[in-house]
Amino acid sequence: METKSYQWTDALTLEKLDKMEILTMIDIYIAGLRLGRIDLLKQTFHESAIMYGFSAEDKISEGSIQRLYDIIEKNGPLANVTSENSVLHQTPNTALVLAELKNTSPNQNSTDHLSLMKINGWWKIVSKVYHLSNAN
Amino acid sequence: MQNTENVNSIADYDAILNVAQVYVDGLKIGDVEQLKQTFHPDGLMAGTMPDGKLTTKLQFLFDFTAENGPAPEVKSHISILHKAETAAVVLVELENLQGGVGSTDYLSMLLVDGEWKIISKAFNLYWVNMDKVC
Repeated sequence: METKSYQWTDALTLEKLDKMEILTMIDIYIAGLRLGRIDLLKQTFHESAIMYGFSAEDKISEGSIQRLYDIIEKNGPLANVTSENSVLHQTPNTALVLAELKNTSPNQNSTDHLSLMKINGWWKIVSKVYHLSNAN
Repeated sequence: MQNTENVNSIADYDAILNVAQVYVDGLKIGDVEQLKQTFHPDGLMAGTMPDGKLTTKLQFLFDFTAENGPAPEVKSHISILHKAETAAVVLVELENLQGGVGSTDYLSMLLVDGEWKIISKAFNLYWVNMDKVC
């Protein structure tokens, strides 16, 4: 019985540790946007990651995460961006995060759905699907 | 502040659930074409197989289904975890796939030209006896 309860505790602790690591990764992602640091963004995304979403002008952006790096390189830091992040669901190897970003550009917010995978002990974002909305 | 419009329409919720159901049914009957209908053609599937192999290619799902066929005993539970106007994330819990394997699937969807499409699937598998899987 004792062994069982220890295992249960360990599992809970691992889940909490994972959650902390996941949210730290998301913080690094947001910091990368705010500071315009592509090196930080590259730490948080898997190299095969994809990004999809619509601009406020209803133009679709699709394909590789490289597009995010290109946008940041061209436009520089999103200096006023803030975000509230929640882990919507997690398993030992995958997680789904909701990042609610404010001020991605003046008067614009972004709802990010981020899918993550634990690869070689590190959490990486494999997909970002977003919806941009006007902040009225 | 007065809200004049709910951007999350019931028709959209229904359409999202329907795409997830078509996806599950595609797995159940082993129909690659049906699975393809639910995904964006440049979508991604990420996960680790029981042999430890990591995949990030959507084509892997189609190849796996073509090779392993239907999963007639599969049971599923579908929930929408979050929805914005043009994006949604769906949790699909699966039990009794091929070889009795279970899976937690995260489907990230986008509303493209009036149709909800799966952009990415991230999965976590559960298995007891590895011999029967892949």
